[in-house]
Amino acid sequence: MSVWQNKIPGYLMSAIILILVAEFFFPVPEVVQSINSELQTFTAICAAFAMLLGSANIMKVYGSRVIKRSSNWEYAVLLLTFLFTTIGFGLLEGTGGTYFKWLYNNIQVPAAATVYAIIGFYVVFAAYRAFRARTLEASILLVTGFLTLMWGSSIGHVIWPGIGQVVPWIVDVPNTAGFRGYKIAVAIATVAVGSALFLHKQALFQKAGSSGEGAA
Amino acid sequence: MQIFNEGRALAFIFVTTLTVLLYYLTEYAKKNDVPLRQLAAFEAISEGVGRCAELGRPLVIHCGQRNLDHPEVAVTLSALEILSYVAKLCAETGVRIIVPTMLHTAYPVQVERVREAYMEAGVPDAFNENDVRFLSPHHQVYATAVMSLFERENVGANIMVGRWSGISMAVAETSARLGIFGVGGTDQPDNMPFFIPTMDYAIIGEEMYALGAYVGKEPRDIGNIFAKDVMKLVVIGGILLGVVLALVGIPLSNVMGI
Repeated sequence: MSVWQNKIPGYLMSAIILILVAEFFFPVPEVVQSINSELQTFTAICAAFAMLLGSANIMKVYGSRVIKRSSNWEYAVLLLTFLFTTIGFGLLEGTGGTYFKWLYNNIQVPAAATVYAIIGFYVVFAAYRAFRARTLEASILLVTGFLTLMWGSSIGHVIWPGIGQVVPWIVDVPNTAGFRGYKIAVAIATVAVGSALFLHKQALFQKAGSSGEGAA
Repeated sequence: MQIFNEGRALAFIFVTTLTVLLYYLTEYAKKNDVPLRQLAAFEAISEGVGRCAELGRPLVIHCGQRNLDHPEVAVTLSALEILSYVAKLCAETGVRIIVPTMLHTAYPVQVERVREAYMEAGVPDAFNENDVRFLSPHHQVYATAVMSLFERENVGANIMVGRWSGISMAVAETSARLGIFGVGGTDQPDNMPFFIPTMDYAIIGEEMYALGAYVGKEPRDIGNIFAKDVMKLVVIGGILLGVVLALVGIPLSNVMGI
């Protein structure tokens, strides 16, 4: 790996991490705060350019499908038509424009809401699979899931008034204990990734599967 | 004179200790053999690739929903490590890999990771850039596109790693309904219940990060896992100490001034 591909970005990243972390831990002078603010602006600009790359990829993949008349190429035409129409209105009248907002409010929002609503059915299918008592763990899941379901519905309290004490205990004690263990382990792992980036002991700038040593 | 921002001293000590540990344990791992326990998910990924090779079907891998400019980027970085490993396995075994993505900032990185994997496997010509596809940054649009991709491309295995929202349920359930071999992993407790019933193997919480390092098996990666394990022991020790002190009437929060 060349100096430009590996070492320079690595040192640059360590410096940026230091500046960002310094503001979190220590009372820093105003100049450091303004550098942080500028860095965040740079991030937003880079992300916007990356979105252009993504859009170019959509045009390339679906454009070639139309040119080659691959299967379902008609859908690709539809997708590209909507893509260019939305970009066109966005460029002409801005994101607050009448036609742009009409497209968003009357096509994208209801279509997205429909897809999201379907998730409810998927949850039921998945719950059916999860609640089959094939193993001890699945049986425990079945019992706690059933109790929680009954606790959430008014009929559960009528069938067994004690459910009002049992389920909050399950939620507050074993569930919270497991949840905290999970979160603590994830937090340690997240900090470790940050530290590894700072020390250049992360494969971000290295070839897949290649040795990370000597990367810095 | 105030040295630390309010309430940040303990966090600083924690982060510094972990960073120092990471450095020294990586150096230790360079000189010594550090055994790693087998991760079931690691075997599951190989199983998924093998299944695709046998059936002659493509493999789909997603790297979650957190962009590289998001504060929760760490999980995406781990997912990218897993992508590199899976791409290399696919390149070696001749399995077609499809990488749909909704991460516009990670898209170029994903393209390069897959390209490099094919180059390392010695089959650079087999890499098809159109198989790394930016579908949409919108969750629902992405889910719909991926669900149709499963059916259209007759996918053999589906690997979902990274951080997800509610749409992971729709994608994972569709994959299970079609009989696609599934490996799902996230560090988010809210999404974990979606993967447990729908996937053949689930990578739970911190295992996501461990797997990201595990697939490399370099001293750098082993040192990372080692440091995390030592820090976990320190935290467990701290919790036990706190319990004992609380039992004898001295809450740890009073001792540490938090």
